[in-house]
Amino acid sequence: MIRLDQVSFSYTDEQVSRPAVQDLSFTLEAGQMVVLLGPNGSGKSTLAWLIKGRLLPGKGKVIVDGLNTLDKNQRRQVQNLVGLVGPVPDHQFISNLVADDVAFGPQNLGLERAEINRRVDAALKMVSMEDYAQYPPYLLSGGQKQRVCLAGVLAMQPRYLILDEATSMLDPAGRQQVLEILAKLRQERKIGILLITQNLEEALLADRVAIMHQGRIAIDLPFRELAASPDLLKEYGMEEPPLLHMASLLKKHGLLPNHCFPDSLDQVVKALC
Amino acid sequence: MLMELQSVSYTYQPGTVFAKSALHDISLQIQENEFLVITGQEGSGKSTLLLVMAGLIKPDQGQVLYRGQPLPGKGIHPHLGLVFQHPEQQMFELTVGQEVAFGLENRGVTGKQLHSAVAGALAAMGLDPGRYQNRRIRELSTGEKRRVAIASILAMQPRVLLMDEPLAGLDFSGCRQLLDNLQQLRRSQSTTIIMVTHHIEPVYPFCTRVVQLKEGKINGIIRSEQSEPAENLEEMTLPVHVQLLHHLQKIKPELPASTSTAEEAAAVIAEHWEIGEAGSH
Amino acid sequence: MESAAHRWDARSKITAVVGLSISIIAASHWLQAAAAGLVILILLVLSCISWRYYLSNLHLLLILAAITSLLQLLVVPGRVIYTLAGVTLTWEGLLAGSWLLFRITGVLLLAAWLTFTTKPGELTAGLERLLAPLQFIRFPVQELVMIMTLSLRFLPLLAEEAQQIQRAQLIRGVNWSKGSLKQKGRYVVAFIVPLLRLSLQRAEDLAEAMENRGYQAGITRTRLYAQPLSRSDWVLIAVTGIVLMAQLL
Repeated sequence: MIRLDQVSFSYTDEQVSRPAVQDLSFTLEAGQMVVLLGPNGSGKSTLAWLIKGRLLPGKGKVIVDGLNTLDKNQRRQVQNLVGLVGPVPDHQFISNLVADDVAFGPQNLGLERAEINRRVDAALKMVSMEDYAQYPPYLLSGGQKQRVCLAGVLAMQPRYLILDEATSMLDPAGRQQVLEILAKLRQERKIGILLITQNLEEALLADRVAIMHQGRIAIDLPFRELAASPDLLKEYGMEEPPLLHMASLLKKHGLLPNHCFPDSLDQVVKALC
Repeated sequence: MLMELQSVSYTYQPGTVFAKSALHDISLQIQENEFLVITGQEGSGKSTLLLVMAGLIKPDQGQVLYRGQPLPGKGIHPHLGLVFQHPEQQMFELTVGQEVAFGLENRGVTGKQLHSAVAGALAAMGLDPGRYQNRRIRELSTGEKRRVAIASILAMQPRVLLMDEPLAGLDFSGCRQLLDNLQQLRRSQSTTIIMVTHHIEPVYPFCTRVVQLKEGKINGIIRSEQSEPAENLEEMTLPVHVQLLHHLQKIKPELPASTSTAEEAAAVIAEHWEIGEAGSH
Repeated sequence: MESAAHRWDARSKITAVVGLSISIIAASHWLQAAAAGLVILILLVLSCISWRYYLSNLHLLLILAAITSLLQLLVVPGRVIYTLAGVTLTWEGLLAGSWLLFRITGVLLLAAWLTFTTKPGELTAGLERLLAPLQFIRFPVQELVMIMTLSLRFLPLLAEEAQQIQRAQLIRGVNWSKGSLKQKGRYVVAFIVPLLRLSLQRAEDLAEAMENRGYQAGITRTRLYAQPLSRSDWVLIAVTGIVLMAQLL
């Protein structure tokens, strides 16, 4: 389990201290998926880096599977337990060959070569990119690139995965593919997933939705509860996902029952007919 | 007619093993003051199409006309302004004022004229010139930087504003604000806007037409308010309410193919449903 | 795509390329040069890559080499073959020119052969193992090789950014062929500053990406490509050795 206990963190830039995360408490369990929303600059990426152990809390503590990131040796283990995928795939490639790139992380773990090869194969298969092992990354599409980046992190066999706006540059099809992989990882490998996004639609898959606002977690609710109160979303500068918005408009016209929160367009069509 | 593409084709790295056909026989007409959205899956050629429209890459076949004239062979037509993806990464100056003035200075504009054009462009992007002009670019937020980058193109007073994914990476309020600014620009300056995006939901109520590309060809075109059924369109890059209308048209052909907003779609569905219910009882 | 040349270990290929390059440059007798040239030719054939591919990748460099050789042709004094408009062509010039062209072409072809038949990862891994003995004198081999890998990754990125900035300048009315010297100076600054800023940014991104995947300077990393040398590798090294020795005769 990942646990943040009243964590605060400030960036110091030219002697000016700018608080990014304030008195924040948060948990993520293995096999859970939490979607983290919030406007630009609300502290989402800082939170990701605090969990990964790349930033250290100024106050409070971050505990990952009992390991405290403030302890140097334990931090090293935390960094291997938590995988992080960023928004721009091109900035995350280290090698000019897909297979070599995926192997980069396991190489740093000092694993045996046979084990590395096994993990590279498995990770590429997990993201359906096994046919591209011998490709240079620049020949791939954006969605394929991001899947390779995901494989590079998965090959290190993390117990937790943070995706920091990793779907923001992808088109709907690419986004869908990544989300399907995440669902599989959560079910089959019990990986705990923190999905940072601007896109509330992605929250459909999540156990919980958290909204960050000015360095704090303002809301942390199951998706259904949040979806049932669009005003709450508006309060934090967000809109309902389009499908739910459509559903609530139809409800206003008395065309859909009030308890209906569709997962897909087909459900809306069925409910109407 | 403002712009016209006449069977434009373009291939990347022709004659090599990496040859990749990006655009194939695209013909399109764009009216003055339109807000045209170009959408499609990744690799459908939409960014390439924008570069061709701006005249930055020359098509292998066909041509692009602006007010009946082919685009200049070198450089960019002074009436066209292009905003690249992540324009905030290609800023040349230190302060907001200098950055916005850069293009005009290259054209030899100076003094009062320069000053008022810079102020006007900043204001058009919702940035108070007095407050922003002397600020350092690196101190701005992503959304502000994006708007400064767009203002620096607007300062050159383009008649057509071409934009590649201007909403990527912006949060809800950033998106909303930018779209409001663009709408205002269309109204006050009657600027034509051509935008490549897959963020179709927020843009749809503002645009006049959506052109959907697929594998370098035009797959279909839909007007935001259209009654007759739209053929061929891939659903994934259309807004949810249009997708819904699409499904419902199969049951009730008298429904429109598209409305501008989800609210209008809900209203029109409600109207037809009551009629339908009344008819069946 | 797996030709004999592809299957050789990167270490033996690097040895061969370095050895043969030295041979062809140091050759003083035509027989010595011919021996090196013949081996290079065999290597090229064994790569199973068409001549056209070599030429299309090297043509710019080869033209440059040809121009350099042509200059030799014209400036070296000696027995005159032909004079035209005050420019004299001499036997010595012709010899010096073709000699130079032969050497440069040989080295270029070798370099191309190595990069065409070896994956970048294998290449750096091979280099790392070849340089491994230097670690005993505290030479940071692993770090050096990592820098090489990253530069290979970095250069195409930088080229892309440069093109993007150029386009961004174009749409902002930058016209290199017009304008005063002062204005051109401004354009240069407006090109270099964002390029530098972007490359620093990219370097930071890359460092971040590496640390995110557990890289730290000084850790022991598993080598990806570490097969023992095979018999054919030893043959290649031996042939290189023989050609190199022949230069001493």
